[in-house]
Amino acid sequence: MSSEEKLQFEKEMERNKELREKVELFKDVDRFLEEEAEFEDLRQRVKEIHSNYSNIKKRNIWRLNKASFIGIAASILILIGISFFILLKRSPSYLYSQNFEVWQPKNITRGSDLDREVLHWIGLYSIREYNKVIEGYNHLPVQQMDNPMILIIYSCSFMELNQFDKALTVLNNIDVSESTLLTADVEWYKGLCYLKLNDFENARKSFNSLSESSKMYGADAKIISSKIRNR
Amino acid sequence: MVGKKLGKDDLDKILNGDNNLANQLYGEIVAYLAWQKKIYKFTNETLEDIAQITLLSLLNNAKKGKFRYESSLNTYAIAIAKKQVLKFFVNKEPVMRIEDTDLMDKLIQEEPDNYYLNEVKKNVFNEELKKLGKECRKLLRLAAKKIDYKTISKKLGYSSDKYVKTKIYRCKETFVKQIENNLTYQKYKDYDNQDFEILEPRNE
Repeated sequence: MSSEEKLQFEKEMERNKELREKVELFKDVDRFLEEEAEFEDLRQRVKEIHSNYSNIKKRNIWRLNKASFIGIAASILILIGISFFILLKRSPSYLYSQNFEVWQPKNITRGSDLDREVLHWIGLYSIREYNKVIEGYNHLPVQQMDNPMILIIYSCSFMELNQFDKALTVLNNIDVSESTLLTADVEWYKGLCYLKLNDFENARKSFNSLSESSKMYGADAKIISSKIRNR
Repeated sequence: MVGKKLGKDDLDKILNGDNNLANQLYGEIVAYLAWQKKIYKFTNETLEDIAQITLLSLLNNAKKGKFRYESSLNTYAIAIAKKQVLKFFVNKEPVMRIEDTDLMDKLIQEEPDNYYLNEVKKNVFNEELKKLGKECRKLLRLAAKKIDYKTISKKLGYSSDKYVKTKIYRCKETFVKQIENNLTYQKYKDYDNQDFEILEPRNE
């Protein structure tokens, strides 16, 4: 618009109310549209922020879930491990393996009262020839067959070969009235046999009596007793 | 989670793409609304809607310089969120109109002149804008962003920038005509703020 045209227009504006109002309205509309456009940009920015925030939240939830899952899995495994360990320590097999040792005959020398055959037979036991020991028992001199020491060796050989019922039969036939030193030994091995045969009632009886009376086996018997208390 | 208190300078950073600050502010709004959700029992979708409206309202008014900045952006955000929740409680849905973002009497600096008249005008303009065709709305929006006609023509696939110029002018004319024919506009265009005070005294 030239300056003359501008002047003309301004004069017209002063004169013409309708024109004035129209011009004002166009200005208002322009202002409004600018605000609208800015607002639309803001709206887009807010949508971006929301989307970004939601994605981070989802990622964190996934990470948290992953971490939680690993944590829970690890806890369960640890719990299973601990339970397994506790149960293992209470199992008859474990208790047996921790406490069984083959009986060691005491005070036996070449110059003792025992026959050569018996000494040879004991020799087999000392070199862990348990099958031969069991086989050889029936060839021992008859008067030695009821010897408590011989019978303990015989029963331990059965125990080494996992024949606990046979071992128990032998142990139950041992007469320790003349040899009270061996009473505790016999009761101890009986207890272990009952343990392996899952006869917890009789096992408890053997170990309870030992825990009260035996200096040698008392402490260990007490421990085993406590571990099979509720079985 | 309460983080750093955000001030005036942080606003520009948020508007210009600082997502860390944006997430912090938005996170506080969401956390507040999550608590409100339990009381007022709205859905997660509504929570998200209210959160976005709150942030939009906050940014819009902060940009217009309507805050005194006596408190932090975080405080204003929670105040706006609170109002939005109450609105929802009354309306049972979050409603967002451009003019809603100005209705924060306790937070804005001072009431502008012709406050009500401006509000009426905005309502009318919005109403009539929605009635314009999609093409016109797009053109007017792009023109309002001061994008040149050549770029607009390429963006929207028009034959020439001259065509775009003519089209924009015609759309604006249509828009203005619609406004002039609007009954509400005709009724109130000669009012000023005092007239509105008599008609509809504001509730404190």
